[in-house]
Amino acid sequence: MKRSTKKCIIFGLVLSLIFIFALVAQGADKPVLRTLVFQGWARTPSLQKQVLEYEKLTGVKVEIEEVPFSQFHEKMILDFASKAGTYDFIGTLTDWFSELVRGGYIIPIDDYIKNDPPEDWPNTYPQALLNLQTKDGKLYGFPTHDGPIMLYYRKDLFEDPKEKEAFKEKYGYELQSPKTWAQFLDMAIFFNRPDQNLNGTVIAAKQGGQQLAYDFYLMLWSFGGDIFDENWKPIFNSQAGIDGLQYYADLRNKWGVTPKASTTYDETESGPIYLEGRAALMWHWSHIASWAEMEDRSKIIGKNGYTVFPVADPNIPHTTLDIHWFFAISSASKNQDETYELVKWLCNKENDKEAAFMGTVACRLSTFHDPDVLEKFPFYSGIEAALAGEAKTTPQIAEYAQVDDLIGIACSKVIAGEKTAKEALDEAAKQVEDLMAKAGYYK
Amino acid sequence: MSSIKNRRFNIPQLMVLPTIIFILAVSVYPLIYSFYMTLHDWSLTRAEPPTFVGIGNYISLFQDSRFWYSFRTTVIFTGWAVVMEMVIGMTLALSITRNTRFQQICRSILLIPMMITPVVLSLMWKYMYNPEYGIFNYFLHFLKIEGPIWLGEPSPALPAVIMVDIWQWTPFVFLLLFSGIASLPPDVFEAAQVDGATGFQTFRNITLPLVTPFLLVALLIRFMDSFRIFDTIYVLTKGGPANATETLSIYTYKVGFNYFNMGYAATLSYIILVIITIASQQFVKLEGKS
Repeated sequence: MKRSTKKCIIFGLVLSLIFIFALVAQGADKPVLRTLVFQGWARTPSLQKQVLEYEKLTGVKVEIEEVPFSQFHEKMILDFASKAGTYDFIGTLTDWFSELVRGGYIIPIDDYIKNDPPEDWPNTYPQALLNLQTKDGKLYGFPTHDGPIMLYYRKDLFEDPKEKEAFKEKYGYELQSPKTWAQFLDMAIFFNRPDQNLNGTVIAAKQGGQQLAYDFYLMLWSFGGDIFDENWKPIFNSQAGIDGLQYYADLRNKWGVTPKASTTYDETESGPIYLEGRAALMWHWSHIASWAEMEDRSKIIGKNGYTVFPVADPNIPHTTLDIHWFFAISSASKNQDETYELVKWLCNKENDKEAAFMGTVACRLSTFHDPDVLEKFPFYSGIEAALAGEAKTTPQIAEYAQVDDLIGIACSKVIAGEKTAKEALDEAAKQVEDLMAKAGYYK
Repeated sequence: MSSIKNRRFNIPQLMVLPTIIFILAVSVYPLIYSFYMTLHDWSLTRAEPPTFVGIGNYISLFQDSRFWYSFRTTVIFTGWAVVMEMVIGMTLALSITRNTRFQQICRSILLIPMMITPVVLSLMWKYMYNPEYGIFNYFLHFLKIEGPIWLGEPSPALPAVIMVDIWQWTPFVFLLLFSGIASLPPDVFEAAQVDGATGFQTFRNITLPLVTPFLLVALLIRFMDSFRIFDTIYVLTKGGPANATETLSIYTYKVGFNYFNMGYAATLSYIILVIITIASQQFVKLEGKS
C-alpha cells in the first residue's frame, strides 16, 4: 500500500475517533436514567407519558424496561446484587422493602427531602403509606401506586327491585353489600347463575401467583387471626386461619360460586372476569374501582359498587390489606441526584392526579381530595378512610418471599383437597418457624 | 533446526489456546465456583458476605422433605416421558421406513415440534389446556364430558406437563431411531424373510438388537434432558398446583431466584449434576456392552 494512502486511512480513523468522542461527550452532559417495571403495571401508561414530558422539560432521557411480573423480583434483585447499576430507580413493592434495605440496595431520601421537599411536605401522603417505606426512622422512597383491597359488587344487580325481592324472600333479610362472610356466601349463591354466564364471585387461587397468599392473609384477619405474634412465631395456623382457609376453599369446592378454573387465575385474570360482567362479587385491589369506569377496560361502567372487606363475626373490626408500589433509588445508581429530581417530579401533584385518570391508584392526599378525581372516582374517599383505619400489611421481613411461597403451597394443597386446612397450615407454620429460627429471629 | 521444530510445535497449541481459555472460562470456572458456593451460606438479600458452612448445605438438603418430594416428581416425570417417547418414537420409526413421497412428507411434518422453542410451545399448550377456552375441553364438551382443569388440579397437571414433553421430543427419538434403522444392512432382513420369520420375530431378534446402540443414545439424551426439565413446567404451572409439578429444577430455581438463597441453590444444582452423571455413566456402560 502506498504511504500516502496509509496516511489518509490513519488520518480518517483519527478524525472518526474525535467525532465519536465529541458525540459521547455531548451526550454525557445529561445522564440517561433507567428503570424497570413489570408488564401490565397500572402505573406504566402514565409513567411512559410523563417521562417524555420530563425529557422535553429537562433534556434528561428516561428509559423504561418492562418484564413479566414473574421475572420482575428476580431481575431487580440480581441487578442490585451485582451492583451493575443498570437501573437508577425502580417502582417496587412494599413486600420487598425489607430485603432491599437489608441488602443495602436502595438509599434513604431524607437528606434530599430536607433540601428539596416535595409539594405539601410533610402532609403529602397518608402516614400509613409512608410507614411501609420507613425503616429505623429513614424514608426510602415515594409511594406511586396504591391498592388496598376492597370488596366490589354489581350495584345494578344489588339495587334491582326484582333481585331485592327475590333475595329477601329466599334469605329473609335485605339484599345489600355484604358485611359478613355469611352474607357474602348467601349473595354469592344467589347470584351464581351459570346459564347467564354469571358467577357468584371469582377468586385468584393459582399457586405461584401473586394473590393466593394475600387472600389467605385477608381471610385470616377477617376471621380474627394474625400471621405472626410479637416474637415472630407463626400463629396463622390458629382456628381463625383454619376456618378462613376452609371457607376460601369451600367457595370453589363446596359451593361452586367461583369458576372451577380459579386455581389457574392470578389477580390479572380474575379482575377482567369481574370487569367483563361475569361475577356479581369480588374482592380485589383498588385499581379495579378505577378500571371499572374506563371504557377500554370495563363492560360494567356505572355498575360497580365497593365496600369494606367482610368479616366472619360483626365484633371483628373490618380490615384490609395494604401493600403498594413506591419509587426507590438504587444505591448503585451513578445519577442519584438526578434520579431524586425525576422521582420527585413524577410524584408531584399534577402527575399524581394525571396518573389517577390513567388507571393508577394515586397516593397523594392532594389527589384524594381533588374534586375532579372524586367526581370520576368516588372510591378515593374510601381509600383514605381504609388507610386511616385498620389496614394491615404483609410481614415486613426480608424472608417474606419464602414465607409467601410456603403459605401459598399450603393454601393450594387445601384447595386441591390433598390436605385439610389444619394439616396444611400446621405444616406451613413448622416450615416458617424453622426458616425464622435459621434467620436468627429467635434468641 | 530444533528451534524451527519447537516453533512449529507451539503454533498448533497457540491456535487451540483461545478455545481452551473459552471452555475454562465458561465451563470449568463456573463449575468450580458453584461448588465453592455450595460450601457457603449466601443470601443475596443480606449485605453480609457469604459465610463458610462446610457441608452444612448438603446436610440440610438430605433433611429437606421438599427436596425428596421434588426428586420423586422428577423421577415420575422422567420415567413416563422417556418411556413414552421411546415407545412412540420406535413405532413411528418402524412405520415410516419407505421412501415414498407421502412418507417423506410425514417425516418432515413429524420434526416440526422439536423445532419450536420450548417456551413458545409451552405457551401454545397453556392456551390449549385452558379449561374455559382451550381446544381440549372444547372437544370434550362435544362428547358430553366435563373437561378437567388441566393445569389447575394436581391429578391432571403432571400428566398434562408430561404430554407436552412427549409431543415435543418424540420426533427427536424418531429421528435417531429412523437413522439407525435406515443404516441397517438389508440382507439380514432378506435372510429372515426367506427363513419365514414373522414381523414380530424379525423385530425382536434382528431389528431390536441392531438398533440398541441408537436406542441407548436416545435414551441417554432424553433422560438427561427430562431430568433437568424446567422451561415447560415454569411456563405451564410454575410447580403448582399444590406443588404437584415441582421438579428438582423448579425447586432449585425458586430457592435461587425467589428466595435468593444462592448457597443452597448451588447445592441443589450439584446434586442434580451428580445424579445425572451417575445415571449417564450406567447408560454408557450398557452401550459399551451392546
